[in-house]
Amino acid sequence: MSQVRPDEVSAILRKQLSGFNNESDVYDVGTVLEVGDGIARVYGLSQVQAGELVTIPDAKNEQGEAVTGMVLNLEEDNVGIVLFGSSSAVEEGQTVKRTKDIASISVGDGLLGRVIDPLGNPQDGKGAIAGKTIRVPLERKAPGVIYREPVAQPLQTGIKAIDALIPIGRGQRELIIGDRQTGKTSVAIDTIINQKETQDTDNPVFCIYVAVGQKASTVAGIKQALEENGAMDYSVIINAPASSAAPMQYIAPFAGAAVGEFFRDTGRHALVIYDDLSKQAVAYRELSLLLKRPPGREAYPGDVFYLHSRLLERAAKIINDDQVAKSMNNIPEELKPMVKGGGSLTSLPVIETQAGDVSAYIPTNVISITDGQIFLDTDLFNSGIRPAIDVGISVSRVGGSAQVKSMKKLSGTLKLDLAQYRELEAFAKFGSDLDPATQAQLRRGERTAELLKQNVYEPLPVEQQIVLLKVNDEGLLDKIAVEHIQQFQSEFIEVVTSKYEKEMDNLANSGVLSDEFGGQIIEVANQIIGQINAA
Amino acid sequence: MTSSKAAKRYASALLDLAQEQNNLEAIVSDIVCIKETIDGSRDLQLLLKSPIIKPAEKTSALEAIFVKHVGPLTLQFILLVSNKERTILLPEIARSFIKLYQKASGIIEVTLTSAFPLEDDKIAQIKKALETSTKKTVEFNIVENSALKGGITIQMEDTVIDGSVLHKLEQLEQTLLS
Repeated sequence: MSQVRPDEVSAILRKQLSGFNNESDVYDVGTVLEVGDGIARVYGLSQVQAGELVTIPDAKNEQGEAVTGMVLNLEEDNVGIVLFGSSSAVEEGQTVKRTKDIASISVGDGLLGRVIDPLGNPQDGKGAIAGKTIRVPLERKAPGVIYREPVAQPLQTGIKAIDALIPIGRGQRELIIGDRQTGKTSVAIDTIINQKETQDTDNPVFCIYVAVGQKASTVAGIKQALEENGAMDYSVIINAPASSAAPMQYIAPFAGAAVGEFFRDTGRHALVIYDDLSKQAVAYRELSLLLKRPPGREAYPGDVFYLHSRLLERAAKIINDDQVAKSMNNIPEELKPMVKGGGSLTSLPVIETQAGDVSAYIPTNVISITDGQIFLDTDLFNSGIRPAIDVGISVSRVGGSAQVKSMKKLSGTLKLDLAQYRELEAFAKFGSDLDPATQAQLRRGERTAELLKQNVYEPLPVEQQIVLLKVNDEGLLDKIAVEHIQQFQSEFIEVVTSKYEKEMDNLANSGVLSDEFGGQIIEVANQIIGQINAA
Repeated sequence: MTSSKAAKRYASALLDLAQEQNNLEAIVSDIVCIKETIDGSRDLQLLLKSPIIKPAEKTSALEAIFVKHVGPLTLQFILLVSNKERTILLPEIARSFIKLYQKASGIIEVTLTSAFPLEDDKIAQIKKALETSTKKTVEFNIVENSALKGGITIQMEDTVIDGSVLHKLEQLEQTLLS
């Protein structure tokens, strides 16, 4: 208020007062019948739409603002409303006003670097969202078939095990699934950090991290990690912490999708992480039960599959044709002039399983909706294999066509090596009693598994991954002890990146590892292996 | 205010019968009388609600109360409701009936709230304007509320036409804050 100039105030007052007597406002109202558990039942509001926002002007929250809610149930003689925030201020008989505004969020480039709540209100104390913003509805139909293109462009996560074995393409939906404390969020955060290198290219990937039902301290930690790695500049955090009302947790992923769609429909690339959808399903179950919708399996309502399918279906690679893209279905009016083709929205939903049970209701639902899953395993995590990706049951259904050429070539043998190693791993304790072929396979497998280990917040550019996998593919790592693999990796990468800068750039751009450069890196690798073994 | 389905059904049955017998106006005034009697007497409200009093006793009590004030059809209706052990619904049936009657005969109930008492010709003017715009007969329910500070608000069903000074001030506050 202190920044408002007096003459500005007078101007506004004059303008308002000039129309004082001849304008009257028309709005629809209802009356609160009952309230409790964050749900209000309202009589009246006969014209209200499902999903519309309403306000209760007489009920003020802690900040002195009117309590808002969203219409979820339209019944014969009353309307079921879920309240955002404290329901203790709402009393029977209070007036409920329609806003004629379907639950929506303001999106714009100004969101980058910000932490917002699912309704778009800043939560980081940096003031209003800068620049031009447009209102888009949270719930939007996914683009139809003719506005899409097959996934063909890679989205590098910077994690060796994923980029090589479970590649993700732009526009794909890849599930990250695992028990608690298996590094699901770390995989997601690494992926965001790795998008930093795309920021200087023609096709930067903007990231949206949706935190659903998480501890505020965890979210603060994630924000700090992103800031320290310079990733906040191209990221948005949408936060519905555990302390927020169930409706907030329910709409948070939709808010994330709406922000992602803004980038997607303006011809840019976006990555949205829903961390995690199990908590959203729990929030939705809570609302549904309170609204007296019939419970189904595990007490989830009947439409919990649709809840996730309609959300994840919004991930898409949009056709690279502005003319067709402009006629896309369900584009908000304000967004229409900005629509461009060729954008994409990649989704990485996260699901937390209980004791590795992937056959529970929500995990099976989301597995069947997504284009593959990255399965993280507690035993692997505890045995020091981090990221704890279970390569055997993790798949990517569409990402293969998005993989860089030379990476694709190398990953074939890699997958085979690992599969054979896992099969023989149980026999490893027999050691020298085994035949030489088995011993060689075990030896290779052990080193491959060691090579795929990676520290958190240290994503590796794709060209560095390729040269490392090339060395492994040639069998050079068999010559050094397992405990020296990490040392070899750092020394090798250092030498190759400094000595062959031009070739590495070339590899990054073309994705093709030439025979000549291949020979050169093998030479470097041999030298380093010699040094390590001599020491 | 939750109108149960049963209440609506009793009300619409009575309305149909009244229209059939061409007796609507009389029944309406009977129902209004019943409604006012119930609203005005706490004892009667308790009687209707009480699960302890036997249905037969309720029936005779209701008969004794209303026999001199309502027509034969209405009395018969009250006794039917009582025999079916639905006396608890009686106020709601009355409300639903009045609503259904208003709907059927094109009457719209309008709450007119003003900060100061309005002159009769002003009210007539507003009534005429509303009747032309809604094409229905307007029945006013006039409320005075000094909190409005000035101007009037008109509520027709769920729609509010707000021309009050209070609302303008609130809007002004919003404009200045944003």
